[in-house]
Amino acid sequence: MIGLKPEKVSAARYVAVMGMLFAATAALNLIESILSAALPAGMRVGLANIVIMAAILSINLPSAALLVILKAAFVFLTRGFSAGVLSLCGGAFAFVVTALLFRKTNSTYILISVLGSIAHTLGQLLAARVILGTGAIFAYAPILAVSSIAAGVCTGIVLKAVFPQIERVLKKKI
Amino acid sequence: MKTVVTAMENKERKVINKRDTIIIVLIIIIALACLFIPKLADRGGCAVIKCGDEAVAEISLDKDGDYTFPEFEGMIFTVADGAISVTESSCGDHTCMRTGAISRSGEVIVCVPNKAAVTIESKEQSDLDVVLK
Repeated sequence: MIGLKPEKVSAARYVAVMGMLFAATAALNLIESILSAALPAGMRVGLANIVIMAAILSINLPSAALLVILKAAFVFLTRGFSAGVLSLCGGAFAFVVTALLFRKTNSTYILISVLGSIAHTLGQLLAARVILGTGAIFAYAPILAVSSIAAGVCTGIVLKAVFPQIERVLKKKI
Repeated sequence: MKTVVTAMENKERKVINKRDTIIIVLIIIIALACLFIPKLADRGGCAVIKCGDEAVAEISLDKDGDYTFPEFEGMIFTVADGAISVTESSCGDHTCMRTGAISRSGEVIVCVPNKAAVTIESKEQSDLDVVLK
């Protein structure tokens, strides 16, 4: 785990920040399970993805990837096998798309977040297609695309407000 | 120090700009088009219930009633007012139940944990209420 840490950040601080971020992912995931009960089937806001995008921005890619895997493991433990697989596939797709956009383009926060959200949904649909063995699931694609856009706009705005704070904690001198 | 370089780049990144707004609006238009085109489809005549890729049963939407199948333990499929819904499910998150009732061709209810998929097909010629496969 120490091999993932950026230079100039002490090991203790890195472990502490990563622990904090993982705790935030887990907590947001649970809050979201409650929130999504009020939304139409299958829709989620993707609050936990804010943390992963913030890690891409303020720590580095391997650390963010580790958070994606930990998040899927948490979902696997709390919501079962198929939810865990869906989370991992969605998370992996979203991670690749957001990481590429942040590193290679000057796209705005909201666009990156929207495209990341759509990629997350696409990854989940593909995983669901494999588990189910039928393409019927793609009938959900348009409605999920619309909700992904709404969710992406929200997470993009929150991300912009939040990630400098994580960066500050990471580098702060005591 | 790589993280600082990233931070500098991110200072110039905007929350939103004109170009990206246009891109997002275009995506919304495409998604909404895909969303509303199936709504124009005819009301289907029967529901096909699949386990994985195999059809388990075909249920006519004309006759109200509850249906259960040995393939899907704990699941109850209910037909009412020409639409079908999942009213009971053993899965964890009940996404299938929250999908509500479907009645138009192209609409679908899916339960990933139970590997169940309900799709609507156009009217079959037969007068049977349920065809088990």
